[in-house]
Amino acid sequence: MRRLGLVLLLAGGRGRLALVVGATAATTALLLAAASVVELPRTHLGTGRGGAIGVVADPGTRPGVVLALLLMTVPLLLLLDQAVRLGSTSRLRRTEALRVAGATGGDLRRWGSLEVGAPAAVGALLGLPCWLVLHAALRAGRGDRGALLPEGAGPGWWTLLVLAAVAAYGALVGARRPAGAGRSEPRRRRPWWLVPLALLVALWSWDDLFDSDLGVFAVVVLLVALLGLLAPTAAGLVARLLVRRAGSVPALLAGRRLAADPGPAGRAAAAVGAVGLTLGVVPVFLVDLRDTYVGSDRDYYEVPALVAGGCALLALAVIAASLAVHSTETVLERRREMATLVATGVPPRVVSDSQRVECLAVTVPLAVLGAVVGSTGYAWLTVSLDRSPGPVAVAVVATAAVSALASWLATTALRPWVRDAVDPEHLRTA
Amino acid sequence: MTDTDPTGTSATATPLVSGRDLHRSFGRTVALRGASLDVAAGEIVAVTGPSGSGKSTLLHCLAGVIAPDAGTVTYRDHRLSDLSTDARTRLRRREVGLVLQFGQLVPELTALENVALPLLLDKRGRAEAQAAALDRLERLGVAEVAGSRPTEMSGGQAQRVAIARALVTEPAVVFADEPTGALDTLAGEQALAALVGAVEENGCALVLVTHDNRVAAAAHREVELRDGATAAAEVRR
Repeated sequence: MRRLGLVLLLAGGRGRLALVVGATAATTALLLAAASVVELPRTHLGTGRGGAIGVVADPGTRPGVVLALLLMTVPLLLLLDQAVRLGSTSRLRRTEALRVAGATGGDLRRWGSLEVGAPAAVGALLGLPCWLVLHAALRAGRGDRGALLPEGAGPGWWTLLVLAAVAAYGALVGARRPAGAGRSEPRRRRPWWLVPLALLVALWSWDDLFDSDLGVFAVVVLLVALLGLLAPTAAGLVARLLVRRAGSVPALLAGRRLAADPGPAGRAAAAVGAVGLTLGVVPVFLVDLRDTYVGSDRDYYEVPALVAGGCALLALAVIAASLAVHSTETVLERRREMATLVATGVPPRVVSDSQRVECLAVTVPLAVLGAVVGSTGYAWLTVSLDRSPGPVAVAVVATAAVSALASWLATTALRPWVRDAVDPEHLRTA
Repeated sequence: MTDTDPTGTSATATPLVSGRDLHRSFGRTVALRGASLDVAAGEIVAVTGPSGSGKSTLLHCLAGVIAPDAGTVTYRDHRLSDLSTDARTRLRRREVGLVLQFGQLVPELTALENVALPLLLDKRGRAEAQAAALDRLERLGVAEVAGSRPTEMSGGQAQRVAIARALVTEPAVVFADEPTGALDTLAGEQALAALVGAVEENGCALVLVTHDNRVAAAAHREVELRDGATAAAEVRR
């Protein structure tokens, strides 16, 4: 007979295991990259072939690189959190059954920590080869301009610490939610977005606002806060619009689902807005750099901007995946109702399509809004830019296309789970 | 009156739906072992039997929701196994109504939207679909919950909304699996009366799976399942 812990570990399903392993492996690789940069000598490193790019070579800007790498783990940890929520309904039932059978809270937490901690440990170990690939990728392709990570840079003794920390984090997350995450009642949203708006209006009266670095920084921070706080409201608005205008069943299902529980979609929308903001700024910044900067070390600015753009794209993909996982979780929670729908003649693809509409409705409008604010804002703030609409248009269209593609890919990847969940064969047991 | 009919079929009318020698297993659990049942147009048939006798599996096979491992299901002389998945789905949507014991309405949709869903899928206009759905809700006496979500309705109201959804496409046959099983006596009686009344008004057939004698008494014919096979004796009324 297999040990109960192993049975429970395997009961979570392969999809959940794969997501936990994938998210922790990628997190480990990024943390090891950050540790490698921290471990570099505290002196100015050589640039060019065999050396590092400017922002890594300069010890003054290195903390920014480390921070950027750490920030990149945030969407991956969000994905891990979402993966842990996957299958909450069945795990809740299982937990209740185990409790009835006499399991204590400690037993449940121990099993929960094993259920997530074990795959997280596997992911942490797999993070090592991922790190090697990442290391090779960051060293390659820069030629004479220097590498993002210089030759020989490695995390050293930090490696073990990082691996243990990632596995322990997984175990902690599992122990905290032994029964998955119950769906909480949607809370009434308060108009907190009025605060940054009021501050922005107040700042506007300051004559030298844009002549001061502090003023510009404050405007950017307030704009990001405004976008973030407005996002859930915007998601709710999109949902209501979808329901009112729904010309198809997928749109109706998506709109109603969003309107019923706008919280997770709102949080994702806020993150998407921030990503859109970055994706809006980067192309305009690069065009401005190309047109106005004549120095030989353009790489000093160009490479970090490109890396920031790449990170934003990665974050967008992870957020879309996280949103798709949440949507799938909702379908799994409603599997009986959805299986009944399919039994009554609703094609299973309608359910999948409704998820796609839901993801698109959250990501695309907020990504576009973020890109519009970011690109026009930056273009307006940059005195040197000729203000041609080209870069702004490119930034907005590219952001819309990328966010739509990310949503499409994420929902397509999860389609088999949805199809299986809504199979009317489950009506006997759902 | 009690007839003896070894196939559990009606000998008096041309069958609208016919299941012959149906076998179905779920893993090692055998649910059906050669069950047969014919249902004529406009007929109300009750399928009874103890728990685990295969009643729900038989109903799901006849409705085309699941495929039997062996045996044939025909609908108006078309073998369901010969139809593509899409064709079977369309057939279920247009010709078949399904009422289950619980958990059949989409929680996020209003009653009106739940009932209008099959029509919207058939590319009917939103206004037309909603008008037909409202008419159906009115006829079943639950128009007042048209704008409510399932969680805001009583069990009896939700079941009548589910009946409205099953009937909104004017199907030829309705399959109901323990339609009163999750309701109290009064709500159960009301839901059953609504179902039988609506079925008779529409002139469609009804197959009722139940272990409740009072529900079975509403049928023209009662067929009993035992250990996955149709019992030899059936009750006609």
